[in-house]
Amino acid sequence: MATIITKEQQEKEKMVTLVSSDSEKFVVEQKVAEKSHVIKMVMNCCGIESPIPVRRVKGDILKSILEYCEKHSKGEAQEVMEKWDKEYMDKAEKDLVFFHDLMLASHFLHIQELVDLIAVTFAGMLKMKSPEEIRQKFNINNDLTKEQEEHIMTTFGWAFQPI
Amino acid sequence: MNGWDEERALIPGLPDDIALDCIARVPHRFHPVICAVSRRWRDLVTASAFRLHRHRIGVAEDLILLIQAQPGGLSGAGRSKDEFRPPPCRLVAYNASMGEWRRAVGAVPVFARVTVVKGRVVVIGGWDPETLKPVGEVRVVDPVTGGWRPGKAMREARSFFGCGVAGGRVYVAGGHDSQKNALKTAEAYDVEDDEWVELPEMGEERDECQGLGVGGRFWAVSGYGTEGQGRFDPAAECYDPATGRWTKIEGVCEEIGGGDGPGSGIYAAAGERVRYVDGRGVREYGRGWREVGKGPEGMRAVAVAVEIGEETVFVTGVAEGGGMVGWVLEDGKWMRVSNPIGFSGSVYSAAVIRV
Repeated sequence: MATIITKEQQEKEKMVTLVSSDSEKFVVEQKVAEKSHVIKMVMNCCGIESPIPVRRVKGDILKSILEYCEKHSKGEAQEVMEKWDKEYMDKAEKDLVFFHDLMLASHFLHIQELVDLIAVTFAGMLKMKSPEEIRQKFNINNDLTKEQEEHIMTTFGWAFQPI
Repeated sequence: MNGWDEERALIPGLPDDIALDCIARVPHRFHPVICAVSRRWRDLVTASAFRLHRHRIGVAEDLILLIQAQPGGLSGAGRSKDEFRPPPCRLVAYNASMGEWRRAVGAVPVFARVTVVKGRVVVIGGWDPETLKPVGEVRVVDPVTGGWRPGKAMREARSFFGCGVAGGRVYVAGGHDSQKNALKTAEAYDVEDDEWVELPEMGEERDECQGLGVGGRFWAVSGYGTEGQGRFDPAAECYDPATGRWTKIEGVCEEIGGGDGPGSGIYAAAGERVRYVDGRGVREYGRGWREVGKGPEGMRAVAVAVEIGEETVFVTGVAEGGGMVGWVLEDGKWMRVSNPIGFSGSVYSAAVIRV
């Protein structure tokens, strides 16, 4: 007699183990891991039986990324997702080192939605700031000479204020 | 090993391609500020490749450039009629993607023409604000900073001329000189070489003609001669750079101009298509005119019209009850654009650039 497998059980069977660079193990559903184009390709060619090493991503970053992938594999309403994304980013951007690592990992794992979300958030961090504030926040060396900087400042032709 | 030069990185800790992806998403209004972060940021943001990248990732913004009178500038108090002075004009940028209005610092010649060619904004001609004499002046404006550098002046000073872009060149034709003589002369400007070349004369004098780039050719529509003050010619002349000749197109504005002259409506061209917008509707040209859509509701007269991409049209005109108002035609519907106080002056010329 054939066993009847419910949809839920079927899903459960499709679990995959991912191993971070610092040997932390994460067991997630295949559809969650599939959000990464790179992991999807690995699963397609090597299967899901043995653990997949994600050597360039540390445990704390991989954990956060998988949290994102899980939420985004549920197909929830757009407003719900937008709110969730915002909270997720608000938390991430507090720690700049973490934020950079998250950005690099999302690129490396090729999760386009997350790449875009982080880029938009990053661009938001550059708005409404003076050049000096931007340099300080991102540790950028100012190699403009006084004259060059002055030139940029004085040729700003667009004025926002009414005459 | 990080694999990238940490010292020269746009953002330390990030590969440049990822940094570029982030910086490209900063809205255009902040670009002048981020230009001053470092040399590499300045060179990145002002490069045309940066604009292309923004376009590719779908974050480019449409900037509509206007030559607009400064409101409240009409003939100052205490001046007699003889001393009438036209209001000073400014270069204004309306960001159609964000709904923001800005103006460039300093005045431009009164009634100057603005046009966009090869990613650069070019302001041409008009009247000297002091002497009120036509000038040949050319300004090449950087759309990122709003700052400008002088370009080579037109060979002939002229005002109220037709102006359009075709095949990567700016064409000017007709208008009148400092003696108020209507002109049949025309010239073309190459912004990269910063050079004007003289074109053969048109068949007729065309003061107050409208210039259009249609495909690779330039049209000078209507206008009038020195003797025929105000009697607008229903024909257009078309210059083809391949043959170097003007060809007359009879009756272009016969059907639509009516007795009102071209003042009541305006032509706009995109690609090979020519459209005409007035209070009655939008018409398209091709062996005569046919109506393709309704006009903006409550519009009495159109001042300028520009096509944004293939489908969208931006116009400014006089609304019923007075005042200069903008409208955008999108998906067959006209939407009124709100212009804040300080941006309600008459509009004399318009062009669009994607940034």
